[in-house]
Amino acid sequence: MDHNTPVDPITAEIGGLQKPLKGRRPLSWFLFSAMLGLTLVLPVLAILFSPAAPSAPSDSSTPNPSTPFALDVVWNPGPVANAHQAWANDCQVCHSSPFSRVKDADCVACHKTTAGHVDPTTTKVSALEEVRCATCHRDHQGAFGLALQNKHFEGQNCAACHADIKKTMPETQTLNVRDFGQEHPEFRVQVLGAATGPTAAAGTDRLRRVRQASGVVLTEATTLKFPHDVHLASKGVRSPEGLVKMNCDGCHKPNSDRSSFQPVAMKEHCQSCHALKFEPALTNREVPHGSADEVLSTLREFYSYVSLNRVQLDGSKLSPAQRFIALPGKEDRLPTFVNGAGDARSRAAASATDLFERTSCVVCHTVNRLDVAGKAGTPGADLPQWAIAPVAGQHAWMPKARFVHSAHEASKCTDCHSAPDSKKASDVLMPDIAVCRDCHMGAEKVANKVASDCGTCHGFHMAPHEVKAQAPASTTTPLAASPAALATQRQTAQLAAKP
Amino acid sequence: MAQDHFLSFNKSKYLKWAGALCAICIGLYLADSPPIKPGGGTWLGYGLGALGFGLILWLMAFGLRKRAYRSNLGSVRGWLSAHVYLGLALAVVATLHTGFELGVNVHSAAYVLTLAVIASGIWGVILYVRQPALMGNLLNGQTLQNLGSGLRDIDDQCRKLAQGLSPDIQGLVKNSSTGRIFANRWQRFSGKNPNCATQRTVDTLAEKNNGASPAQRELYNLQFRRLQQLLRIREFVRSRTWTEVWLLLHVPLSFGLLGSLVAHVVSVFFYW
Repeated sequence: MDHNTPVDPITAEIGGLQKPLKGRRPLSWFLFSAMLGLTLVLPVLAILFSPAAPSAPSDSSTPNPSTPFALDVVWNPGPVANAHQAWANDCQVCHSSPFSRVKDADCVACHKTTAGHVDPTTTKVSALEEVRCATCHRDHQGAFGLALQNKHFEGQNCAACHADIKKTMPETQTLNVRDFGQEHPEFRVQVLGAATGPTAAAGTDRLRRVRQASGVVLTEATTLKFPHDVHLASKGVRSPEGLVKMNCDGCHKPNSDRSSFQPVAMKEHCQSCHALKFEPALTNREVPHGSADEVLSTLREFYSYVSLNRVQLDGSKLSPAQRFIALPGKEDRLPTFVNGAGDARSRAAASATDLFERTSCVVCHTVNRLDVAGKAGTPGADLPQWAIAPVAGQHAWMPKARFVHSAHEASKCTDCHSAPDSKKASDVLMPDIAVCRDCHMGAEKVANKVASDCGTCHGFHMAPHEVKAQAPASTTTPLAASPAALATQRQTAQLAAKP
Repeated sequence: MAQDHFLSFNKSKYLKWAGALCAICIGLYLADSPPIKPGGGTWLGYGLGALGFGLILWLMAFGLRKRAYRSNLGSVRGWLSAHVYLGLALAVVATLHTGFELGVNVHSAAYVLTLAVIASGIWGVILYVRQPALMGNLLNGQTLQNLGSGLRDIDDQCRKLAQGLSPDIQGLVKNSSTGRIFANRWQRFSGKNPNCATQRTVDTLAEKNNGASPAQRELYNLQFRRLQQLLRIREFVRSRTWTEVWLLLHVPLSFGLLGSLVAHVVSVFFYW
């Protein structure tokens, strides 16, 4: 109250009461400055004075800086994906420059092996040049946000290019695809091509993708002999224990995550019937399932022992089981080697001839007699020589698609693979698209069908090894080695070994 | 009053506008199926954010328009009507902009402040709807200054009447006239002065009223009227103080919101 003015107390007090409460303006300034200062000015200053970060995940020579006291974490709009949690408080690891969207270079600093959609060395797609990593992968969407987005994007907009892919990419081998249910070409199955021509001799990759056609069984140039129909016969297949009913899972064991299968192995899956015995009347010994040299040396050593010790051999006293072992499935024809006569070398040679050409190797493998000397310095060097055509290792049948067997465990194997009817190992028993469409239809829901968008089977990114620019020279096992090539290699080795 | 009121201004024009705005935004939100989780980062999210930003700037401009007495840019009542309804619509726009995701960060701080400002605004609307007179300085059609003059008139009359009465009575009258409406500033919030001199005078005169002279009874009546006036003034000041407390929240909170809003927008594009 102003004491200098002669105002009566009531007027003065009422005047005071009419003044509004003080503090609105300072309080406004305070809140405005506090919010702006704490949540903008401080973080920006901290970013401007960031030292280089030792915690950057990449081993690049210039790691992105780290904000002091992580003051910019107040800007974090939401939890980052689980895989990125380690850098949740280190914004500049991904956000390397202000007012610019997250750069692909910042992603690739860690994700070095992630390939693009096409091989940039062979293919240029202008539509893809505008696509950033973050076009599809947007973080800060929760612990599983990225995983959900990946699922979402995989099935989206593929048709925008692929419905008429020939228009934008005339040279592509890819056919037009609009929707799995309505417009999708027959599958291309990756098979082993014939081992002929200069590329085969040189041992380069013989895998090629061949398109299925309805009613045609694709074949693969395998050197293996295996009739699925005999082994899966409903009445059973003969074994040392009599008729045995075999199932697919007797040989095809799931791998550890049950997505696919372990390789079939001679020792675990074949040898209980297809034993490599060579003198069943005398011994249960088997030749090793290995190189021809090892087989020949085993035989040469054995018959040397037999000759030296004058061991009696009489194949006529074989039990039925021993007969079976000698020639599985063909009881009537007794092998000759059990009655072999002569010195150790000729006995071993006769036995080897039977093993390679009649009773064992030839049952499953393509065997070629070679007119060359044996491996120098081995006991079997003076025996005749054979070459077993190499068997290609397991390979993916549909490398561009994703198929998880465990997701289809409820189905019978034969629902998709017609193995019981297959007479040759060269038959490619991959189901065609019609089989898949028994259950799966396209992205749009169809009654009693599984709605399947492109992402159900396909991914956007190429596998790293598919990109030629990134792949090492050759990591694949050489698949091809013709008998001729093998003989040449051996002769060269022998020449080199001679003094 | 119905047509004139700020809530029903111009046939509730702004209620309809705000309703339409909300309906459009909710419709777009429901129709949108963004490739990432709904929120500020989708195209609709950017759009809703820009709309919300514009709304906030315009809503805060009401503080300028209110003071621009010479402005012809619409009536203040129209502006207030639009301010209330579009302010309520802002709650819908801002909520959709968040995609219903909240966290401990500057973005959610801006959202929480937005809701706090809107909540305080709703409180203000309720205050003004229940006591329209609080918008001015009027009490029963009179200003506080008028009421003050009335008190002084009563005091003058009482002094004259008391001249013929005992010194005790004269002392009581003097105490009453020099007593304060509120003994301290905090009593403005409760509207009560437990140590009121006029109340004491009225009580004492009431005890002595039996067999008192006509002048003393008249004095009692005047003091009683003075007390009634005082109580009315106190109740009015209490109510108005609380409306000011509302503004003391509404305005600074909205400036806090402006600060965090700037931080929100800049930070989003700083770490795009």
